[in-house]
Amino acid sequence: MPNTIRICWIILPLIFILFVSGCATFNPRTEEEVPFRERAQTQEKGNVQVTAAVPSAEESKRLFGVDIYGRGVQPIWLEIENEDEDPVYFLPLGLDPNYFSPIEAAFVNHFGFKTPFNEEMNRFFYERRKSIRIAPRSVMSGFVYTPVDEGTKAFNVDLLGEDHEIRTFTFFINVPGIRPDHQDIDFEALYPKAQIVSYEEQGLRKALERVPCCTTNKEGTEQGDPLNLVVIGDQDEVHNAFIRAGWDETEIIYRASAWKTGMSFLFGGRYRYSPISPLYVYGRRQDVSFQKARGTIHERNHLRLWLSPMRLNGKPVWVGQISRDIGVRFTTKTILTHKIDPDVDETRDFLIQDLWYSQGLLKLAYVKGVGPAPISAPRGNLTGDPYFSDGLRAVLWVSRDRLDMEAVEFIEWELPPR
Amino acid sequence: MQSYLDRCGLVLFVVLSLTAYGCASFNPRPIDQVPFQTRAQTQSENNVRVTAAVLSAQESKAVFDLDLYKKGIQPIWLEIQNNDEERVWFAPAGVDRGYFSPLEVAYMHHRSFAKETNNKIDKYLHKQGIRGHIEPGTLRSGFVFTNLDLGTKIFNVDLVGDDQQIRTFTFFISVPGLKVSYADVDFANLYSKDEMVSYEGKKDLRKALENLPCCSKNEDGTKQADPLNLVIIGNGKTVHQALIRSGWDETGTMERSVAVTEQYRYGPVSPFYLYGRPQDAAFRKTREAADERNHLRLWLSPIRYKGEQVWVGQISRDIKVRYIPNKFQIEPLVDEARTYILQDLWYSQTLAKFGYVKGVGAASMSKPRKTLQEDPYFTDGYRLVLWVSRKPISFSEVEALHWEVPPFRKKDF
Repeated sequence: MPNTIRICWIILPLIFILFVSGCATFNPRTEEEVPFRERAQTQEKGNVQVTAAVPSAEESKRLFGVDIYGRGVQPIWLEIENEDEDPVYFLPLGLDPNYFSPIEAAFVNHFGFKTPFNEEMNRFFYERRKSIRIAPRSVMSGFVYTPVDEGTKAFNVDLLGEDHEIRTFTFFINVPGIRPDHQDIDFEALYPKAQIVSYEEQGLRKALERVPCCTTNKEGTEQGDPLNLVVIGDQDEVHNAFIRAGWDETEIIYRASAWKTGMSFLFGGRYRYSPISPLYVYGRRQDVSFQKARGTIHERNHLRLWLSPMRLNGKPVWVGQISRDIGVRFTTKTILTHKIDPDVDETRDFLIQDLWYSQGLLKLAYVKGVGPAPISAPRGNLTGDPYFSDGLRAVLWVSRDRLDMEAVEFIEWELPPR
Repeated sequence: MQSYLDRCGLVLFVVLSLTAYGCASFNPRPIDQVPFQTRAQTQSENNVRVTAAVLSAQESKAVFDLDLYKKGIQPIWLEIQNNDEERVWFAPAGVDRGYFSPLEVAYMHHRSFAKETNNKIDKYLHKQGIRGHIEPGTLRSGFVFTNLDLGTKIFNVDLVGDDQQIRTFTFFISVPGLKVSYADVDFANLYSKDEMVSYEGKKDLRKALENLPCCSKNEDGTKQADPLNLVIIGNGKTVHQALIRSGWDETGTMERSVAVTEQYRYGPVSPFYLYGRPQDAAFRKTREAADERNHLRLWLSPIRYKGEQVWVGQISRDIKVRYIPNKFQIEPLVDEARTYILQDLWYSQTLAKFGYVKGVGAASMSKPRKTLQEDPYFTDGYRLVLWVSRKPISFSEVEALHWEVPPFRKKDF
């Protein structure tokens, strides 16, 4: 017995030493060795050109020598070329109000004990930061450190001139790493040409009223949540409007995503890209879904969209469903499910405001088609959750670019009762 | 055996029904019996009148018979009187983008085995919510359920007319419960008339600001604490509103404890000393975690510039916080936090003018100075001077004073 203890005392320090030397290496690669800039996007305004790229988790690990995504830090690489007569100044706060300062970003990545690497890391992160001033006729590049967004990273690069006017460059950059549900769908091939129906505004109103009230199960035998949403815009416009309003994409179900969902379900985490259960319209599951996480996995808003065969003056028309998760509940069918807010109109109206405040809303209307269900006689969805509604669906024209909040047009087709 | 099981079942049934009975009372008090409306504020614009009140923890409990604050929910009561000829739309998301829907609040407080009561809670909360449009000549009132803020709550009530015109009403309402850092400071009597120094010219002001001590101190004045890298010019209320508008939180005092769950946002800020006293006011801006906060300490100085108060301050960014033992480490490049607040006030449209003066003394990355906690810091040696404004100032209206060349305007910064 004492023997075993003695061996233990020898082995423990050995393991410790191995462990320490194992993790405490800091071997960053150069930007040339990690080809993340192949995905860079460039925009130009006047005499200023901005190029931006977002390295993935894997690439960042190689670039910085530490798992910086794992510590909640996402680097953004910027290159600003100023061909103007005056200098311009870059404002990191405009990119993300919660940006990390370079040494702070290094600090969260420090090893848990004193090593010579910490000092080196400080210097490394600091030297690679994005400079604030870009002199006339010069090019500057470097990293800005922000909180992590997977899927699509949306951000503004605000440049301040000597005149204190701001030039804003808006980027939507795809970050490899998650598998969003819409990536495998070929939207062009969803409908043959003969099935596409084009409308003018009044014709569309009639057509929207005839869209089925609700989603269904796979077999189409039972009714699910109501189709209380119509979105008008091409794929890019819809995507950007929701991302800018702070909605996250949704992953398809695969091993890693199922594991992450399970963990956040059990421990109340905040897996922002959790897969969403399928509902059916046009005989298929949703084409795209978005979610907006709040405190825990049980409190989030979900929305599902299907591309319809309808077009309004050439613009695609999407049919959708939105609901607010308010907690977990036991059911006989799926054992555990999310409970939705029975006041589905409240959630629908939240989305209108959400898009309006993020300046992605162009026009707005309400149409019939869901069929009213009073609070005293609620209808049920697939998991048996009751809901009530005024029977209207919201029709939202969305935009890729920012719009003036006071320019949103309300088309008075129907008026919700409250 | 059989009878034992029977008895067990019976006991279980009795216990369950007792529990259910015990929990299943729901007795909200009528709103006019809870006198929160005495603290309400009213604003009017273009024939529309908005009245708002923020309920305290106790008032929320009385009005809803639910412990809303415990779940991080803070109800705001609103009354909207529309005397215009067109209807107006009220957008709760403008008050708080992450507001809770009434039935969500109800569901969070549902009790087991109490279907009747739960229905009652649902119905009551649904009825108390306010949203949608307000017809001409009518009055509507109700609650919006927002995320909890202590100290001073700022929110907008946005009303959109049929002509798409937006009326925005901004409220600053103090929430009872938190004793704020400056609660006991008698600002009017901090200095006698003889101690006060007034300047009318920019040159004199600049000199006076350069002559301020480099740093704050510890209590007995024997050791130097963090550098005084900030000056804010504006009267108390203007400075306060500018900071609240930019999303800074109040902080508590040492005497009254702040709930553990609220510590990271509202816990007291450790005292540094200037003019022989700890800071007069302290504010904090919290990001995701406790290690990611910005701290701001302010002292009212005896200096007045064109009649306006001059506040001397210190700003730093925490990058490591330990409650036991109470220890924190700041970002060694303290100038980062200074640049942060410049942008922050600029973006929130509360900045009128800014400039840089000497006075802190430079310290390089290779030869850093030490904070009270023996952590290194380095700086370019400038202090930032900010003029704040009560009315919104657009980006291009902000004036830059050409005193010292701001470090970020230098070539090789």
